[in-house]
Amino acid sequence: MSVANRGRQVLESGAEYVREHRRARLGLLVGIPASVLVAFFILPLLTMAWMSFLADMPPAPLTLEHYIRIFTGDTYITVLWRTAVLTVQSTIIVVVLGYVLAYSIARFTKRATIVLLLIILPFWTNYIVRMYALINIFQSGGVLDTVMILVGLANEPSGIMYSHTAVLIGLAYVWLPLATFPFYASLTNMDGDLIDASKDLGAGPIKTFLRVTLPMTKNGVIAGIVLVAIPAFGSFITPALLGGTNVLMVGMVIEQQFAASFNWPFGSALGMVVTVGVVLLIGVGSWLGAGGKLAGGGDE
Amino acid sequence: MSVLTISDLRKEFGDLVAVDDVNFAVDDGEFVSILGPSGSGKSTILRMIAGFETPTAGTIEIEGENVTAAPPFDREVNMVFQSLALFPHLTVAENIGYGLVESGVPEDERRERIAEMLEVVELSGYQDRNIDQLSGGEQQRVALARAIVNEPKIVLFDEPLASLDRKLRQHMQFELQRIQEETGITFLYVTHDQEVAMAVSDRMLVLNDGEMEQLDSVETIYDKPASKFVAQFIGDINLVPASIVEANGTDVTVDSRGNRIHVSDAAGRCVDAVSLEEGADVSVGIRPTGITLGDPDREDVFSVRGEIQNRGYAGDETVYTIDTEYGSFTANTEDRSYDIGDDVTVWWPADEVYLFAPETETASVSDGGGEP
Repeated sequence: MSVANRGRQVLESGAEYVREHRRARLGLLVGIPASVLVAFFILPLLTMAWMSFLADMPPAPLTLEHYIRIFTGDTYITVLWRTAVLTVQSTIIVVVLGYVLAYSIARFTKRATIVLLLIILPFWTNYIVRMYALINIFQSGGVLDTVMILVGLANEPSGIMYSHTAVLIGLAYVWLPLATFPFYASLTNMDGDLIDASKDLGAGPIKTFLRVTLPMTKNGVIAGIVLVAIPAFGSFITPALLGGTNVLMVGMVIEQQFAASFNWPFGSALGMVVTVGVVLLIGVGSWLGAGGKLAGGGDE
Repeated sequence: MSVLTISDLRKEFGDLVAVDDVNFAVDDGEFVSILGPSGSGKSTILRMIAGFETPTAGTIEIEGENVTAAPPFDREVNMVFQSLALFPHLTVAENIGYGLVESGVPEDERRERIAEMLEVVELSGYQDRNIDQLSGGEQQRVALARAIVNEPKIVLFDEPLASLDRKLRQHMQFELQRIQEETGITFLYVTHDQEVAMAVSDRMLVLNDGEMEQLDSVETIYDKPASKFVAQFIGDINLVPASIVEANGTDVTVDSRGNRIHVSDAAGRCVDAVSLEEGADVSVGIRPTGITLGDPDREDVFSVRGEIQNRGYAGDETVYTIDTEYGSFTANTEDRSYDIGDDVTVWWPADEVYLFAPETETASVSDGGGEP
């Protein structure tokens, strides 16, 4: 009897040991990244939120004046609106081009890895260098003008530099590779038999795309949209270099508040507006991904 | 009337000839299996009929209409895929109704036909389930319903039962036969599993290396295989090298190392083109089920001594592997009285014998084998 009891004791203490130490291991596993997140993400975010309600650089009394300033005058509403328009436009361009690109790689390319490598290659080139390349192309008397006039498509310089179009092309160019990857991943994850099955059941290529391919790759599309829309919304280098002061985006204004005007509280308030907007975007995105339906899923 | 006519169908992938001038016709309401080892081209034939592959040469006619160049969505055939290919983002009803939506069937009728079809496959009330909530067998039924509900001329099956466990597969075989009889739709079933093919089909087409070996009823293919390949692929066969020592028309006596057997209807026992001349070499084939163990209870049998190497149970029968002077023999018998290591006499009568061309020669391929 005592032998049986001892055996059970040993077993129990062994189990307890494993349980405790698994907890400890789990704690370490989650704890380290969690504390990094808290220290370098959550705390700065809270600081920014707090600062956005300060009248001046701390210490200063609390106020709502920055938010009132943002939402009452035309200036910042215009900037926010322009930022939103550019974000939506560039996201649409990137999604359409990126999806077509990813689709053709996934379906019709034998050496997909090499093509994907070529797509990601510009990412290894410095961002500023790529922007200066675009400036060279767009500027008055630049590559674009020269070629257009040479070919006879235009008689005079396009004046595309420092315009809405230049910023839009710049944003689409920069974020296209990033969106292609989630599209490609979701397309290759999809069982090719589903496309055959759809055609076998009488659906042509377009119907098959709308009823099967697009709904099946919905999550990849949403991931791509979120990946592009968020950095596009906050971008400040691209509009600064390609749009100058003609195409002010909210990222540029925030950067100015922190780096030039030293009005950190107002910059923080603008930052909060952007953050809330982006969080809303992600919220809508994950709601769509979880349950909502994208076009073409129903019975048409 | 033939619902499907395949003429000189050929498919090459680069240098590889996947399907080599295949000809056959399937009658309306038939259940035909295409049986062959992997790589024999059976799935390629199916995919050409469905329209997913373009033939290199030859024609495919469905009810007399040439559809060789038609895209898959313009053919009145539906396929049950090996992977089933059910749409995971749609419900059971939406999956089954997919083709009906495309052909413009109004919603009320659609709902009705889906419900009817679910009844046929015994899944009534499953309309709103998601695909991932279904068991493997239920998914098979949905895939079948999705194909049949469109009332196609032919339903094509690409080994959909291969992933099921034995018991469920056997059950689904019966279900397939029942549903085929109920609907009267022509079924064309591709498989490498002779057991499934023999269980379900009216006729079987045996394919080897892209070429047709035989197209016949299940019984004929088993009893009168048209080639050594068919004999070996459909059920097992033991082979003994021999030569003809006496020939009198089709009445011959075969000798193998002193063992003699008298075959009176040799012409009817020939599988390949076998020379029945005196002195000609032949291979004597015997099915494992034709073998008896123990002392022969009659005259004029072929018998050989051996030692039991192995034994295994297959339901009512015991499968013995016997080491003989001719190599390893397989015997299926209800006799369980032998054990590993026992010496035993293995024998078979003349009416269980097949005659093949001798082993050393490459088996001549039957000339198309297309039966009327």
